[in-house]
Amino acid sequence: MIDEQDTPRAAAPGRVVLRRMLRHGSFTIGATLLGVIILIAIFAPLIAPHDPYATDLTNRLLPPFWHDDSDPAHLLGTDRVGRDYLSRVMYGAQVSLVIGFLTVIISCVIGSLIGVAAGYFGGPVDALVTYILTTRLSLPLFLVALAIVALSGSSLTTVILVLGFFLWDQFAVVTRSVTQQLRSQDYVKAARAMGASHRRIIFRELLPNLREPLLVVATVEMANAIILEASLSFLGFGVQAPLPSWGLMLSDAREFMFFDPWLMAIPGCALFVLLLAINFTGDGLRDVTGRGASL
Amino acid sequence: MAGTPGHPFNGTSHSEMLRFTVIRLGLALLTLVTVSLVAFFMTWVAGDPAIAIAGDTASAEDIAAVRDHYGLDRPLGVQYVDWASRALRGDFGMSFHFDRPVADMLADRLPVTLRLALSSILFAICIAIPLGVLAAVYNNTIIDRAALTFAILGQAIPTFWFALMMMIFFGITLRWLPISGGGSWKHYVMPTIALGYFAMPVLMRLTRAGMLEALDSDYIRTARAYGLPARSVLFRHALRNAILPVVALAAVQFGFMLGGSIVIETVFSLPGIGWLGYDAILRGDLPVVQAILLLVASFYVVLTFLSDLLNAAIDPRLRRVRVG
Amino acid sequence: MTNTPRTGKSSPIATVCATALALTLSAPAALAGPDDDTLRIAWGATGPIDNLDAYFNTNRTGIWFARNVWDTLVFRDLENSSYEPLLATSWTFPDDKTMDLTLREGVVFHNGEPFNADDVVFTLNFIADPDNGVLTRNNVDWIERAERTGDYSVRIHMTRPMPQIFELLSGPIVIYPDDYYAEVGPSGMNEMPVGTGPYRVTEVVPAERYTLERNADYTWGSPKGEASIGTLEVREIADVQTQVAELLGGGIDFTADISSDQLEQIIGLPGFDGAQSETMRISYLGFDAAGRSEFEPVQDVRVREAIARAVNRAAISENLVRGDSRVVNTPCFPTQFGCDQSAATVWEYDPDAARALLADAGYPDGFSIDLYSYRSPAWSEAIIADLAEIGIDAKLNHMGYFALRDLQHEGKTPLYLMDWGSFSINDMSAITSRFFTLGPDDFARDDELAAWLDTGDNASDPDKRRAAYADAIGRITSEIYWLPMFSHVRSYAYVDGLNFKGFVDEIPRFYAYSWN
Repeated sequence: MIDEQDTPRAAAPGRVVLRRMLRHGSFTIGATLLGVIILIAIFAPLIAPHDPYATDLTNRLLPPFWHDDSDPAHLLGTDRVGRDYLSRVMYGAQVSLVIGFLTVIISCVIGSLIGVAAGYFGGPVDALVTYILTTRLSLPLFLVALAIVALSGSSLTTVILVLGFFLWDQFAVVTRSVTQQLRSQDYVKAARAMGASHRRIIFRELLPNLREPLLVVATVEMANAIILEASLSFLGFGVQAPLPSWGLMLSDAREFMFFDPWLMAIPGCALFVLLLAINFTGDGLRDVTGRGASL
Repeated sequence: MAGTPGHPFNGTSHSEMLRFTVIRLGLALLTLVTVSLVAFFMTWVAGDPAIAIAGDTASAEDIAAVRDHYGLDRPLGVQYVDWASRALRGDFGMSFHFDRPVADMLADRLPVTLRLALSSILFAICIAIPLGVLAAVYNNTIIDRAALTFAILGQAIPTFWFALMMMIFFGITLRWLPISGGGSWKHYVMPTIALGYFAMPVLMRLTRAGMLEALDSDYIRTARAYGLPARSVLFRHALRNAILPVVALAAVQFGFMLGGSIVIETVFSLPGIGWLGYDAILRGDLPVVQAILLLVASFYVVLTFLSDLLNAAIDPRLRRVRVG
Repeated sequence: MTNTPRTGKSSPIATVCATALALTLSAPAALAGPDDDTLRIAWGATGPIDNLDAYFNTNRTGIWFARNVWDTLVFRDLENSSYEPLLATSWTFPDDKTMDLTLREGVVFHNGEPFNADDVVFTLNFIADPDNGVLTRNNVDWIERAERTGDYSVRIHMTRPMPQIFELLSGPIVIYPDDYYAEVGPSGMNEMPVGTGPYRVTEVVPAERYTLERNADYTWGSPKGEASIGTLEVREIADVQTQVAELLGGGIDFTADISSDQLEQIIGLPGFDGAQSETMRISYLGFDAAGRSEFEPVQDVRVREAIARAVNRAAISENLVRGDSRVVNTPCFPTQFGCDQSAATVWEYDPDAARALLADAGYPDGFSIDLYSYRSPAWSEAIIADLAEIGIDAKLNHMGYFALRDLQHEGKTPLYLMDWGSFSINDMSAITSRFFTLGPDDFARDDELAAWLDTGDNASDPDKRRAAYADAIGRITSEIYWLPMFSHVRSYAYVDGLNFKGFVDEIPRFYAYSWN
């Protein structure tokens, strides 16, 4: 507690932040969970017991291990075309994480560029950005994403691009306001007075300060992107089968939800745990860095 | 969000507020025009609508006839101006699939979605504000943690999954609530909870943050120092300051819900514009998709405009960062 | 093609869940149906009915609706495979392009309008006129005009001999009241349909729900028989799982959109019953043999044969479609007129031969291809796994029916898993001719084949038709323009106490149902 009172939050040096993070309960839980899921995703080809695409029509809908007549070769049972459910859940982590990370990278780049430009240059640039931002926010995201994916054909790439080009708004809002605050700080003013170029000021002075708030937004948007992909896939307009996406698995499992509920429970839990991990991590970051409490 | 410098209420407030209003209004109109362009071109470039309209057994002549009949052979710019000027008068053309004017279909479906969005946002507010206040007052205690965890659960449970679980439990196991359709208020209970729970966290966090800030302000400290009763300080002063941004944000959230209720409406077969939009996308019924895009965007623009004015009127600082 | 109520092979987990469900279900289930004499029906898995006017609709459920609300001139007796009088009592053919009909007296439309020759003449002339834009032109373009020859007699002049005339007069061509239709037109008929059928419509909420009541005047001895159940409440529910939830939750009494898996599980529950029948709908794997999509490999017949031998149709039919589904080897349903099974080249499952064929065709390492489909992704996934076995990397493009149909019309689909239900018309012209006569769905572009089908469709001599159709079947299956896959099944689930009666043409006749 002494740290928190004695150290001004905005200027918390990295090591202090790190120490605080490790003491932060939900951050530790979230980050650990997230780490485990990332490891599962990376090492899925090594640890998955079966090929996630190998079908076996004569062994479909086998129950998971907690049922009496389960097959030890398929711990979490098999899906409706006889694919190993455990392997698909493991590979599914890849899909969700790839979508989460790539979407956030794209939208973070777009959002920060726009936000920094608006905050730094102000005036007409700022007005233009406000206009673009209002237009983006007024477009109903899910409907537009659904329409684009439906009209242009669904695939992993389409989903990532559509979400990436739509989820930049919070990045822009946050970078803009942080930039505005920083611009009026003495050291930035001094750098400008000394004739430092715009590029230098933006890269040297602004971006380092944007790291923490952007990280907080990134966790929110990553969770957002993963939920949106799952919802799109659930409605049949996300990624294409047979890619093991959790949203798609949930969509397939719906047919059996009243009678073989584990088919829905398993990918649902996987999705829930991942989103929980990301949200806990984000919450921890938010608390520790003191950024964007209201985000 | 606001780019205009100067606060409407510092000094000669009326003219400044007027200027702010005019600029915001201009921005709103400009946004609407842009949205209409996006709606028109996004759906129009996707494919040849004539093929879609002509249907299953169309020959090349049929398609040509359709193109001629709907004026699809005219330059796109001309078609846009024609479409937009009709839309201004409330005429969104005829559905490609149903023998009905799009405007009629929207009129049938809009009340359902408005009801759902309104009840969801009320539900979200009713949970978010008490929870946010509790979390702020008992900051850093188990209550605060529990409230935040409850909020995180709302963000981490996929809405459609939550909806289906409710459907199984309340609809099938207990048979308390109807499972699909929109015939009575009971049909709205589960969709409202599903949608409201998803919208709740952001409102709760804003309430909590606003309360923390208010409780920490000199003004409240002074009030406390003068020995005003805690309850009065909390509710008459702190909450009043914290609540208006929440209401403003709720208005914006309401706008989002109109476009965001697609999954919920589809899962519960609730005949609102979200489900209509999903169905229209499935069928390539472009006039319906365009009209819904435009309608939802208009709601959002109007609500944002009002919420900006509200924000600017109560607290100039809030105009600088707006969360959505 | 039998309607056997099936016994579920329920696994122990299903039994556990079933028991749990059953505990909660058993009591309130008694509230359903029979007490208020209302059958609550859900349909709409392929989207709501576009237009209740039967001539401006292509939805299957629109056909269901029509059969219960309107009558046709001729009645097709499915059990005896014969055509019987309905609104027409007798008919003769003065020549092969003219038909004289005598009409029934004493029939009344739901709005009180008496039925007579004017109604028939008006309806036929309306649908024959291309300007009125009736949707399925093939059903009506053989009518030149209809002529009144008496109060209760009409003559139909045809543009060409029409071998399938009874299929059409007993199926899609329903009779409208002339005064009402002249006044309100198609949009009025959509808002409030009026017919002579066993049920009359009392409420329409477009694309949402319809209420139908028993037609008390349906006493003139129609072969359809009088309806027994008092009220039908139909709800359009697009989502099949929501339909099942409604059925289990007591919100509806009848659904016809469920899968075989669901049927097996639902009938394991107390309070519910079900039935299944094979339907005329067949799935097929179509190839862009003509190269419209400019995708080279499938233009080679050896590659098409390799795919035909690589796909284990029997396994998909048996394990995924299930129930009464069977492998089909002809580009038509076996009971359809002209669908000669012996004319088809049959491709047995043989992955080794498939690999050899691929190598022979110059693709020893396979290739990558886009597979398009809109039905259950499970079927496509099984096909993709089969193709992967011989080195073909098939990428699924699963999309909505309408989007896919448009892509097909633009010729962009090299390989597609589609299906066709022939509008339940028991004649090869309703399926094979639709896809191989150089129209927008034709990816074979085979002039000789199109000519055979033309002969099959239009010759008045049945033997000549059969011979031409047999040639067509031979060509399609030896060149593998299509790999016919399997027949579909329709599964019905409903509350106990409903006397369900299934029909081979996939059309529920609600007027034939009753309560126990």
